[in-house]
Amino acid sequence: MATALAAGVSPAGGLVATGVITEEEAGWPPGARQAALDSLSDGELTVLAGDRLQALGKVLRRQEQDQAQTEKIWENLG
Amino acid sequence: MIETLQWTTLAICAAIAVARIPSTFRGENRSLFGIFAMMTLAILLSIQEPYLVIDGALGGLNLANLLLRFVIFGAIFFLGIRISRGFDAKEAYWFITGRVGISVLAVISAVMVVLFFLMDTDGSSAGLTGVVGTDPWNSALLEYYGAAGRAYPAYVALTLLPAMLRALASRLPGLIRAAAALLALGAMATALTLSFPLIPPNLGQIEFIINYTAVLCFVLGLALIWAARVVNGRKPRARRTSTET
Repeated sequence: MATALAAGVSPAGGLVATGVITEEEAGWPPGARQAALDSLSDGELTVLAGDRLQALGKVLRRQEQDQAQTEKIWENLG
Repeated sequence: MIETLQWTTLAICAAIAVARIPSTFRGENRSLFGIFAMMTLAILLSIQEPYLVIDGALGGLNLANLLLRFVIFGAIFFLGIRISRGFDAKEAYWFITGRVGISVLAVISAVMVVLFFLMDTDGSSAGLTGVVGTDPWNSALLEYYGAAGRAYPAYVALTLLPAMLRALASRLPGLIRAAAALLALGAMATALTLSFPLIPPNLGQIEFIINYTAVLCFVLGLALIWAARVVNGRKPRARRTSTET
């Protein structure tokens, strides 16, 4: 779900993609996940996965930096 | 109305100073207690009744006013150090504790002391109102003395302002950003005190309001950061994992 959010799709998309719920439960046409995967080549899939991971990495890094800054503020002013 | 504002500010500031005593004994940011205690003393010295008592003990020459200026300088100096370190404002830290900052403090202090002793300051009165009489030389000295006393806090406030505005626009937790907003407001009010000579004497109340706005904003801003830490400390601090985002 975190990945789905970082990628800008609905959280339900993440659940379907990881197989937690079925496509029918999320209201997708049957076989949509497999069809979407099949329509992309291995290269495209890998690049796509890389992009999504990078986006998630940026979000996490920013959160870590904000957390460190907050800790520093508390350390000095708390 | 001014009296209410003064006593309310004094009560708030004193209450926070007292509330910080336990954490001071635990060794958490001792200088913050010092800052609140100095601010409490400064407010006490700006109110007529306590001023008369303290100045009376110091000989009735308004030495308490000079003391007040240095208490404010001390409070704003340590406040500047704490805030600039906490908010990672390296340039502000340098402008306060670096060679320039210390020179500014030394020059302003020296000028202030010289002007004070050049003035005829007989007859206790908080804020030196009505002390100088109609003598043009004496009132000119008072004008410059007042300006020197406002210059250093305004200098520190201006060095801190950019970092406060940056924090306000950041993605830090809401309470921290609210605190940064209050500190920014306090810094702006402090900088605004530089314009006091331009305010006509019949609007003298505005000066009081700006002064106390500055003090209240700084005090409440610091208290808010402290509160945010206390609130955070109560929550179990499990390490966040990526699936919790």
